[in-house]
Amino acid sequence: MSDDVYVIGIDMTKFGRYPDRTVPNLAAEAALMALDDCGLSIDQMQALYCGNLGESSGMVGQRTLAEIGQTGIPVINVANACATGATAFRDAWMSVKAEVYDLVLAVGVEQMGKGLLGGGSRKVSTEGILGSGTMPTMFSQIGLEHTRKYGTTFEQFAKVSVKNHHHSTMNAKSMYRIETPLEEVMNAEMISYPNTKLMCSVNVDGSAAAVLASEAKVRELGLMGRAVKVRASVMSSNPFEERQLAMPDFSAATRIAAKNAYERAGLGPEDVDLVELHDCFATAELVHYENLGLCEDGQAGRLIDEGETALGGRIPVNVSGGLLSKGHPLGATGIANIYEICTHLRGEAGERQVEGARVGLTHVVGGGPGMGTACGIHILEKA
Amino acid sequence: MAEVENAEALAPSIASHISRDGDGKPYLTGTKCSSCGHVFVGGREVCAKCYARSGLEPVRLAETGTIYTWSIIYRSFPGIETPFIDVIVDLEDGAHIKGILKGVEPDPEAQYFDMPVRVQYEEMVPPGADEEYLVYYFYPADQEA
Repeated sequence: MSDDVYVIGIDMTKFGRYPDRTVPNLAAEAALMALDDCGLSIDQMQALYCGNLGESSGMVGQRTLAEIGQTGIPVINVANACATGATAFRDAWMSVKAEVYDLVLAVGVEQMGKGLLGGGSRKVSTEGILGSGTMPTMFSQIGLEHTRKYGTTFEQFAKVSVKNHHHSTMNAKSMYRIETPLEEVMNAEMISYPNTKLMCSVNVDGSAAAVLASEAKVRELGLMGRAVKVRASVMSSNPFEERQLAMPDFSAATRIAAKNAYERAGLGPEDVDLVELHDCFATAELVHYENLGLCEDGQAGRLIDEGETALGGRIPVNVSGGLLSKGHPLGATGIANIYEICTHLRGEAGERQVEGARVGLTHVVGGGPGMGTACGIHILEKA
Repeated sequence: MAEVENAEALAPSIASHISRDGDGKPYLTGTKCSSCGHVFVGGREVCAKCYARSGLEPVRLAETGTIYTWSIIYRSFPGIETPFIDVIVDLEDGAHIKGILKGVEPDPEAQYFDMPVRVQYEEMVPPGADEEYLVYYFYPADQEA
């Protein structure tokens, strides 16, 4: 028997705005859905790994168990910027890989307000004086760095948003399900050039959860039929980069994680059938095509122009609708992306199904000005 | 700032990397690593690039450089006036620093890559504050102060 780890149950809530619910209540919904997905019960879980950012000091995992069953298992609460969900999933994976447990639950959850993220909590803010600390600003400058190097245009960045919004019309769990033609994207309110409002991800509430098991446990439970194998689970932080202290760097960390993930999986980008990557802004998606090796450096604009990353293209990216339309509940995103890939590998994605998908990759990367970067990459394969 | 005699009369700095010398003249603080040569903005005791734990020398940063990348900010937090041009500047001594470009109208078509700029110190009252702070802005290098 191998030491491979499998996802046997996984699901997510419909992303949306649920101001009248609590964070643990949202987490409980996805946790029960994931358990139902594999027909198991909370009293079979040996540990809970819970990812949440907004209430990271509030023992969200324990409060989640208070809603679905207090079995006394170890609870590990994690927070790691936009990689929070992926971190919870990876900690769960490591615990099974290390043979400490053979059946565990991972949950990611977030409840967010509308509006800009970023800035700082200093007494006197430097916002609008020494620059801007908003997330759109950071990712706009990263986009224009790509323009500087390769001549990438505002229109090419905007096409990412057209594609992902189109994909989301086929996803019932997406926050928005509307077509956004190119002119509409480009003429929407400019937030930080070149990202318009429709090129910024949506702050939403939601949760996602996964049940992970050892190979022996999957066989014992008779659940190999819909199981998905974790071929690689990798994280990285920002290495030293020339300008990172002035403009946070998300590319170098992604490149480290991608290289290690492909090595661990014994696969290359050419083996991947679909990708869910961190399109927190339209500019970010193009940069990550290259960071993840989906094309050569400088070719990202061509990839979007030629439709290679659209559903039906060579390497479909963000067929869920992505963070841009499905929504981005920070702590939930890392597991929601894994849910999307698993759904395709299981052949259960309906009209947005990537035909014949056998291998998929998820990527999240988060951070902020003066903080640093957390990146998580998972490569998953149909069992 | 401690060595300035009438320190209480001078506007405080809005960020730790803006300082004043003994004459009250503002400057940007930096650190140069004598092992790898990297120049950092602000003070530090260990080099993030080569991990050296000694030989980090305080320096005054250059006050001219060129724009590496930029964005025009149309939406910021409540109370912050927009639009403004946010720039990442490569200073002539090799340091990289963020700031706002003033002296030109924000225009996406203008493409600000590689524009030579200079630092200018000013005193202003930030939104929500009740006193003046020492800040810096960038201006095109060919624009007189």
